[in-house]
Amino acid sequence: MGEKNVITGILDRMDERLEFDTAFAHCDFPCGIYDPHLAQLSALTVVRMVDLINNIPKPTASKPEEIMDYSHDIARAVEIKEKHAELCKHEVRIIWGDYIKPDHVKLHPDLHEIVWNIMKYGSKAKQEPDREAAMKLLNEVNRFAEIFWETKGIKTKRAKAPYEPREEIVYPQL
Amino acid sequence: MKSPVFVLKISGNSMRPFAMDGDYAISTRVFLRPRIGEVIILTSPNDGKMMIKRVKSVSRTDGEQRYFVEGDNRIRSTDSNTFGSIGRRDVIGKVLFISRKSKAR
Repeated sequence: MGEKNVITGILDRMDERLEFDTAFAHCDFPCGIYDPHLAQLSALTVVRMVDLINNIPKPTASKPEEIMDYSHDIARAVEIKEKHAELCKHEVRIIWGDYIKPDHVKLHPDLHEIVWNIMKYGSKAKQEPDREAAMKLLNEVNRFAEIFWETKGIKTKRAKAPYEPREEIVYPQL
Repeated sequence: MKSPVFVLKISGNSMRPFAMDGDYAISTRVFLRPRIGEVIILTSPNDGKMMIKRVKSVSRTDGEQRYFVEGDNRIRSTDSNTFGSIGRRDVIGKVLFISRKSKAR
């Protein structure tokens, strides 16, 4: 038995008793699956939540049950808005970090600024129920999607989503 | 007080062939600064978890040493190519040697 095996044997027994902490050496699996669709749907959801938040009927001050219902609905809509704004940022960061390469940026020099805007407007959309910020987020994500599909040589078209809030999103022409 | 030498179990294969999934990394906290080519334990800027990576380059930004780290077996290793260079405060330790996992385990 070599020296390393003796050490490993000792470490195995120590690990059973002490449970050593883990150092991660993970790679993302190179699945190659990238699609801005989830970011677009998330941005669209943010717009929809802003609309809902601004249209929930205000409660009557003297009716506690209405105040409770109102608070409940607002809380849920805000939570969904928060989650989708973050999901949108996350999805864009993944594509930007893992897929986008310097050659793409050479062809689209505004790409970094678009991503930066998505991060900024995504945060702004979380901070307040501001439709303008939510729409800026959606517009930048749409622009990001157009560039993404262009890097794949796939044409895109813009069309209004066939559901509320019926705002325009970019679809690949597959 | 934290021990100057510590042992971590490795999860994942981004450091193959230097270290493989299930190996032990015997590491030290006692060193001045990481050098290029050395394998270090760091705190991931992404999620705060401990990672093992190799120092590929060192730079100085605003008076602070920054370390660009990569996995040895990088296909799309989660490393400085994703989260950027790291500061000295993100470095937990330096790996002294790797003890291979037992085959029977």
